[in-house]
Amino acid sequence: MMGGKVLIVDDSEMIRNFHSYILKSIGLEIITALDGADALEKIYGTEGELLICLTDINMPNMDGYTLIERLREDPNYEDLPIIIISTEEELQDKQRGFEAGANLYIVKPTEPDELVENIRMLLGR
Amino acid sequence: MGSIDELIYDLHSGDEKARAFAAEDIAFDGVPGGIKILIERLELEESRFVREVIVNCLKGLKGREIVEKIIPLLSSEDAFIRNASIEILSMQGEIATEFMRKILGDADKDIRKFALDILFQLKSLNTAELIAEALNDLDINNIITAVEYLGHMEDTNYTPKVNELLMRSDNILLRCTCLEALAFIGDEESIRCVNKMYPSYENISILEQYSFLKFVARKGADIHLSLIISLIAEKGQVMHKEIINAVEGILKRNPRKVLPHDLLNSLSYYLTTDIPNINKYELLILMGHYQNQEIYSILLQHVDHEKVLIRMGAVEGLGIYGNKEALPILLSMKEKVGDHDLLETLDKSIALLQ
Amino acid sequence: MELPLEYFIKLRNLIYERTGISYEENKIYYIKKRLYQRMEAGGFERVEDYLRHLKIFDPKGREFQQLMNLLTVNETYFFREFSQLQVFAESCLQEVIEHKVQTNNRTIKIFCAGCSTGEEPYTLGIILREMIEQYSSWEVLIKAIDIDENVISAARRGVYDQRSIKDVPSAYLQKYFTSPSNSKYVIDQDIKDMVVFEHVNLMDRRALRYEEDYDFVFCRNVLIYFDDVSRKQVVDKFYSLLRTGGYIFLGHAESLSRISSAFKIRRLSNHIVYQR
Repeated sequence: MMGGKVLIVDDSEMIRNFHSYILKSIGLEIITALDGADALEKIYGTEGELLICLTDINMPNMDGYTLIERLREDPNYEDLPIIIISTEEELQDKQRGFEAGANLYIVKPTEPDELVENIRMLLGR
Repeated sequence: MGSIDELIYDLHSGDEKARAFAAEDIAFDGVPGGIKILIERLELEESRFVREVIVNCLKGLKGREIVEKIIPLLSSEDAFIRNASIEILSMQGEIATEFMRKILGDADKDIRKFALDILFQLKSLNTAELIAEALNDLDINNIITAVEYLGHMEDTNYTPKVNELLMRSDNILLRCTCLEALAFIGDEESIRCVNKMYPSYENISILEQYSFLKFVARKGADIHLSLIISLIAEKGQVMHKEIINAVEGILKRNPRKVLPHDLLNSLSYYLTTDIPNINKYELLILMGHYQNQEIYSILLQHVDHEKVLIRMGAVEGLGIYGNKEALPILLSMKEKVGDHDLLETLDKSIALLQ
Repeated sequence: MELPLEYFIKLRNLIYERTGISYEENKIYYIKKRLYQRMEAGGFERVEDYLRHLKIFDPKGREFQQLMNLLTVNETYFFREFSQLQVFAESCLQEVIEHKVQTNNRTIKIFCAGCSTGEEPYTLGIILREMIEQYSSWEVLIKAIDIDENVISAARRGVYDQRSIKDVPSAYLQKYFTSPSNSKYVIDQDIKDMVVFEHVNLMDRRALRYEEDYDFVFCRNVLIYFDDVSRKQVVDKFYSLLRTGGYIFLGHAESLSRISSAFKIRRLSNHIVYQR
């Protein structure tokens, strides 16, 4: 996998770590955020392009749906691939996620190979 | 300030500001039934600004009533309200803890997860005990959360259970979480379990290598050094943070005057690779603690580096290393240097050598 | 005593989580030095014990506040955080001016919170004089507030020493200051006339409710002194003060989103800016 930056958004340090390990192992550079609000700070504060964003739903300060909606309002991030990774697994949660503008919805706990496959697919690699 | 009727009227005004001010006054002027009024408004409110004001007001109120009225909102379909409820309850202290006990038994796994989050934020007296109940939760995500939180809280009462989870789980995320928690709460038995599960480098899957290194950083010993040397050669560019922490941890717990030769070669090599400057800074300081001859030369080499952070590492390293021959070099550097932080480290090292 | 990188990162993360302030890697020595001061004061021998104390045994945040007091540089001087002021002057202010010209509303209002001895509001005054064409056709107000009456008195006098003016571009120093003696600089009366100073306590819930329609709020390096709930209350006040499209500026290392998500976040010339 060629290089590039990925943003991991989750209020759990362990989840941020685990997803970092998976993505670092395929050569990606990681930026992490504690919640949706922090994610906005990191996205707008980072120079250079973001390849993809992984986000949880339930977080303090700003939930995942709101984060995705805000990003989609900005023409610069309309097309940013976004994957939701959440414990919520009801159909309505997934629908809400896609309505907000997510590309993919994965239910925790993450299956590392599945995540890598999905990312390759989204990035066309 | 208006009467209660006026305040309620303003709470539904077309103007955001009026609604925000009304919410504040309803909360803090002790309007009877105020909590219920604010919660009802929160559910209808469309302005992000006013929603945040209402939530912030609710955070500022304390007592049984607020806990009782906010708990049902944990089941809200609205993610903003669900998560705001967690934040509000996290500030309620002992009263909330009492209620969380019951919520930990809820049929809905997501509600149980929220209870764990709230308990973790609350940090009152018996929260560890309650969080530990989730080590037996039916949902693996909640078990993982409980292990993570117990690790952060550094509560060693549940170490045996976490050891067991590590040994028996076939879920890699749970194993990683256990390893990282045991770095803080692990005991002798944990070390035995880890050495048994991962007798050699080949047995550790790539993802677990990171967590394994975190465990070794706090609980590892010299026997793990050769493994780390292999990792520096193979994974040094990706796991640099974890590798360096592991080396530092082991060396700290097993003091000696000189570094073993193979480790020194490995670390010197590491300095020449493409790891971030902050890690080179760290390595130079670490090396400064050991008296190997080669280390003195390495430190001197880096004192002229183009990156300030690396120069700082070399300067600090020289101060710690203690060879007074470095003094004239540092003194002459001081004349030419403009960077404030570098000057501070120069002063410190010069003082150490004088 | 050492500060392993791991603990530096943990401390840095803790500070960011609690205050939104980020410290760059270069600051490791700076933080180390002050961390040791606090450790010595509290009798902590190991960094991990001090960190544990901050996380678990300091529920009222008193030790944390002591640490923050040491870390935050409280000095104020003219043109502090120059590159942020450049973004203000060259991008945000221009945008607002254009908008005002189009809508034929030649007023500019700036709110300056925690103005201390006046360096910041007067700096903004100088910038406005320099950046607004046909200045005399505009109505300009800079409202500057502080909780400390002594600093407000000093601000009204407008007399400064070498330290305060060290970053003033020399052309501005000539143009907007007089220097009665070698070590004294007095800000010109027409800059003084742009600023109205007021004694205000931001913690007062009803303070500033009647203020509105400001184009800019500056609140740089002030919010660190508030706890979470109070900080949000203060920022909510600033939201109410601003007109739609107005900007709020915090210190360049401070972040706003985790305090309030009501603002729109944008990237302009390598800086993050926030707009109502």
